[in-house]
Amino acid sequence: MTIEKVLIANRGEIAVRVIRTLRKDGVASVALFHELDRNSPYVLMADEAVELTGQSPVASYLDIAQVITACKNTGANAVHPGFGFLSENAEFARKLEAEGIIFIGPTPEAIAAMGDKVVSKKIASEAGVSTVPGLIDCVADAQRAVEVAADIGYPVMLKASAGGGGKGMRIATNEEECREFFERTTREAKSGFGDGRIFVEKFVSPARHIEIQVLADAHGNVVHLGERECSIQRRHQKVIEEAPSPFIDEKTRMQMGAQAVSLAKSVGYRSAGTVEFIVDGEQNFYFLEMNTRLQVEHPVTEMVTGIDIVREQLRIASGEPLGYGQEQIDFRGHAVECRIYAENADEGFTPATGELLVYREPSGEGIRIDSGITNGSEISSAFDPMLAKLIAYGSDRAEAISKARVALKEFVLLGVTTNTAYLERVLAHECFKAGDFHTGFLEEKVEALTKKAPSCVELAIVVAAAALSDPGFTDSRYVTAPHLAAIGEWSN
Amino acid sequence: MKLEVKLHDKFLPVALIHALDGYRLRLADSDYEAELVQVEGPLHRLSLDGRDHEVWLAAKGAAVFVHALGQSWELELLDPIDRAADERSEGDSTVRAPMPGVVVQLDVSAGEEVAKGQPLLVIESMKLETLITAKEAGVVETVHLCVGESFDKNLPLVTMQEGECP
Repeated sequence: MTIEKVLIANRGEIAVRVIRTLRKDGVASVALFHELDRNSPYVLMADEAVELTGQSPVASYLDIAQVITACKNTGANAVHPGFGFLSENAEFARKLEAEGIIFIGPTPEAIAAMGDKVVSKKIASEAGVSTVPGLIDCVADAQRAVEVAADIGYPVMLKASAGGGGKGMRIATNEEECREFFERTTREAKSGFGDGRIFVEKFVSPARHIEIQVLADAHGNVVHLGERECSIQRRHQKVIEEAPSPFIDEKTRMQMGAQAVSLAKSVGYRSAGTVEFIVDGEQNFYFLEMNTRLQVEHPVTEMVTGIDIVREQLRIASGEPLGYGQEQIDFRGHAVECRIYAENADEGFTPATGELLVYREPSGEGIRIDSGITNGSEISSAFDPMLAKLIAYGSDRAEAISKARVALKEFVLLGVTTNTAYLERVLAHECFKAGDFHTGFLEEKVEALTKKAPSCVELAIVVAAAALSDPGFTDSRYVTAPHLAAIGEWSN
Repeated sequence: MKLEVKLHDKFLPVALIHALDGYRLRLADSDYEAELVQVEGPLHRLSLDGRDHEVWLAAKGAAVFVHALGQSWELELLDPIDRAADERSEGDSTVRAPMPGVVVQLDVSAGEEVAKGQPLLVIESMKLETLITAKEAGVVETVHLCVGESFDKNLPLVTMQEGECP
């Protein structure tokens, strides 16, 4: 079936990203927006826009009935869910299918199977994918959790089967903690996900987080687009990603790729998906989960393969075969992505809000900005704090990092505090540059990554600019006559 | 007369001194030859002791945002006299938002008597819930927000009646 008009059930930078490809391919676009997003770039870019209402801004974007009505009213025959919101909601995919609307993503069955941690681990294990040592089943009570933990050895990770996004997991280092955390994690999982099932596995640490991008068509062809290194995280949220990984060798890369493809095949996967692994210091890797959607960090893969993943999703959704095999996928150069968050890295990473008074993107060869904001955008706490992504491409890792650092410094975002300076400090860290890090890197290097006090000259530049920009300051009442200044008397 | 600039919670005195060709800027103990020229919109050229710097500027209220030296800075321009006056009126009985977020639960309403440490409301921020409790015993005068409403940092959440100490 030909895709003629695509409705994007999302907002912000990913909606802009999807519309870019739609425009390139001459496909019409429909944006959805909550009142707060009325003037967002993605709404203005789309050919049509439909307003959503709801109890809260986020709830509006999660309202399946409104999304389907919008499809019908605009004649959109396909939906791109982006990431977050309804992207991994099997029910949503099923309802669209029932209405004859194409869901640009995998089958509802694949979403459901991979959405449950225990079920997906079981499927992965059966497909020959290496999984974290532990019992591939839920544990009924604390006693059973302790038995399983004793079997695999501490430290262990207690995980909610329905959990995700870094929530619903705890590390226990002994029996007492295991008992206590079993109860606590169960309670949290019940209230957070409406599902209290818990399983226990070995806690692999220190570890890296490395994932494989796969593409699968509806005809059983599956390829992988290599790996992304996503170990630079804070509170289980990725901050900096890159492709390829500076750590794994060709042999590990091939094995991980082959296992990811095998898992995708075993669940009849279709569209773009990501198989996440944790990797220990000896390059042993273990399946973590499969994300059945486009990932935030997909651009780094696009940069090193030259493949537009959103375009491939559209082709696959319209029934086209991939048309190429694994051996035709070429990897070239290195790409680094930095997530620009509205947060104050110098004050405990508290979220920042406000009006974006000045916005100017950096540019230059190899720099790509995926952004959902512009001059005058109002940044509220109603949505995710990620404002934009800066992707830098270079012929090698050092060049990509160096380009990213320059671009971060050139990125002008005034009015709302962002983490650009923090990101630049991470990229500048010797261990990062050497590729020597793990998922605990940002916590471990807190001190080294803390803002340094400005020098006297730096301070003078900033203060002078601020003071002279104030028309009131250059008023005569603030200007001291030279003869008085010479005395050096300062007080009021 | 001088101006104070607040940067990273520090107050720095700044003064302008007339010179033959413009101003000299006095910051702490040093004087600088300073000139700020608007290039286009928010883009400016700052010359400081003969060296040029690209700076981007924006202002909102007392806040001045500067992009210089490859990063952003937020400063506040203050009149030292006003600031001193402000400090004297401290000690207000309003519970303010420690960070931006959304109200997820209200545990009190106006007119209600609360004990020290009693839960007032639950806010959600950074995907985490935070319980806000009463710092002192007293009577609630105003609850400023409803469940589901979002707020910015420092916005009043709950105001207690003055002088109530049962």
